[in-house]
Amino acid sequence: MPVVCLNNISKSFGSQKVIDNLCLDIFKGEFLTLLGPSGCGKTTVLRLIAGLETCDSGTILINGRDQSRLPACDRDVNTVFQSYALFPHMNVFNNIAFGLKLKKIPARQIRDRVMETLALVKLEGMDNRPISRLSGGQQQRVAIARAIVNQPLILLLDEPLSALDYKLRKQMRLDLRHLHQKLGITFVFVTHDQEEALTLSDRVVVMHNGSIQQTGSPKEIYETPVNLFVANFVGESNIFDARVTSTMGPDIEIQIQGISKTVQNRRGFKKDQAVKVLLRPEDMTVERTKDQCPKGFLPGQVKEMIYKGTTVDLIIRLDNGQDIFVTEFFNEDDQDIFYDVNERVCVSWIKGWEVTLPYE
Amino acid sequence: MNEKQGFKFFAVFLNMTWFALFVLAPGLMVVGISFLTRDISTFFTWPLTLDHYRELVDPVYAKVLGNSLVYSFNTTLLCLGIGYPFAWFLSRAPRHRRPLLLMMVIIPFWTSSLIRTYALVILMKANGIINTVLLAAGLVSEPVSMLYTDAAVYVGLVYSLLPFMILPLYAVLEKMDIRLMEAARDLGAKSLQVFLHVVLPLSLPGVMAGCIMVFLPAMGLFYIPDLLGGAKTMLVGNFIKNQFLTAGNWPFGSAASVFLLMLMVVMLGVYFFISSRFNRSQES
Repeated sequence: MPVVCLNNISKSFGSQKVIDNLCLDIFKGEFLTLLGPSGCGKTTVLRLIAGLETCDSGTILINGRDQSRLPACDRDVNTVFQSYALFPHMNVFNNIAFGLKLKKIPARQIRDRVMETLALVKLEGMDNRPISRLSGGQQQRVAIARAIVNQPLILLLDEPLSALDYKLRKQMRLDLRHLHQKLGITFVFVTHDQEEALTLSDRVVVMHNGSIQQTGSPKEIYETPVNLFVANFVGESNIFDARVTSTMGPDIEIQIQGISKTVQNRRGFKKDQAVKVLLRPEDMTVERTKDQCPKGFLPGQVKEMIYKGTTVDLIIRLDNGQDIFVTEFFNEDDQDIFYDVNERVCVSWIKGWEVTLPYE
Repeated sequence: MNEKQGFKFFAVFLNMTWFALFVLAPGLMVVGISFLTRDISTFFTWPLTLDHYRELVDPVYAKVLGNSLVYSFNTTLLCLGIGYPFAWFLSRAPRHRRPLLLMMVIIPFWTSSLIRTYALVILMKANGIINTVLLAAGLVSEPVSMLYTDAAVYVGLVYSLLPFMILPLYAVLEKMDIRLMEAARDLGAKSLQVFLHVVLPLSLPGVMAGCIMVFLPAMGLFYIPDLLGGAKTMLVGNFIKNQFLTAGNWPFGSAASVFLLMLMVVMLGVYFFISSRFNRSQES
């Protein structure tokens, strides 16, 4: 049984519909990420689960019971806020002990649990510090400690890493994962950062305009996006317009920029249908050309080469004027991945690495 | 000297002159007179004396002071009780409506407080507006006596001083981070607990500022007890006024003024001491 069930929930602010008939099950112990651009409604979903907002229609079941109308203070859910929202008039200890004190837990026990949690977030000995004397990263840890010390059923995290600098963010990502493994609490994480979503989550929910676009493991989301929005939002994509010229068993033959290619038919495309073909930059192959490109290759010219240490990124202008983005890795059998600007090249990909979607 | 500096100098000079002429000079005169001897025809004369300060120690005057403190204290409590919820709803009103609501708090300042006190008299007297309405509505059979009671004095004081409580409270409550309240609710706090553990402690600077701004003037508003209390209650302000205008004892009235001033300075000092410690504990 899912620990949270969102059944057909909708929410509007004024005339603006923020959540539109959304359904989502969250399972016990998983690390679920709501991913989407700002304004897609992901934070609102979080606030609905927390009880800081009430939905206009639909129901929210937490642990099997309808808690749609239950106030935030009575839900077994805690939140790590984006701005941390630490109480400025209390020190670290009292911030973390806040929830436990409200539950009238004996002082001795509170002390033990707060200290234990401080150790868990690597803030030993900081209990007497005023909040204003903490760095951003430390405040972040206090905010997490203040939530998990209550041992909630679900921990909600609203873009908790967005205010940290790059290095700290990477460290906190790892720490969050370890915390999740150690505590076994269900984490629901909101972010607009696809890298964060892919590295942290067991399951990613991609949202757009108040509804879910795709739900799946990070691998599924990245490798088989179900629509152009997901493909564009998660990672980089090259998108080609194409048309099906014939079907051949599990494959179809398509025309791309006057060149015919065979690709897999996973969605039952029919002859003469317009399609979009998606390719990740690292899935494209580049060949130097002597004169004519081999069969199945698209001709183009290198516009820019960006050396990135582990990879070389190329921007290639195809002969029909479309710019594409290709990433080449250094490896044993292909040492020579440096290209000159304006060098003529041919690009292609290995059959099956593409994602073919209906035209939209 | 460039133009900007010239203007700065001019502005500071104007301010300083104003203060020197209308605050410092009269103040020094009061202090000076308090050490002189009473005289019927010229109000004060030589020689210098400390008698008036000695006289102030008399239990009769201590009672006047005690009385004033009680009135001021109760007025402050009443203003806080009314002003806090008022400021709260003001600060939570839709943003575009707040300037208008604030304006309505401030508008009464445009009329002299003395005139507004007379207006209260007209409302509350035996054949005044309130009684006329009550009688006409048949709610009472004879006029209710409202004027010249303690309650009337409190109505007058609270009415005059309430804005001084509302404005500093509004200033802190308006800035209050709503996310802190959400965090408290999220951690299991019910409305009352959110208020007690988060809103109230964070609004304390405003509470203190408001209390000071009500408490101190309340000691000196002599015309309110005079007009609404029928001069039955003697406050420090009334006492000082009487010494000057009725008893013709300027030196004694001056001594009482100086004493009241000192009392206020001490209270302000305590306020700044506490609030600076409060701020430091928030920052460090």
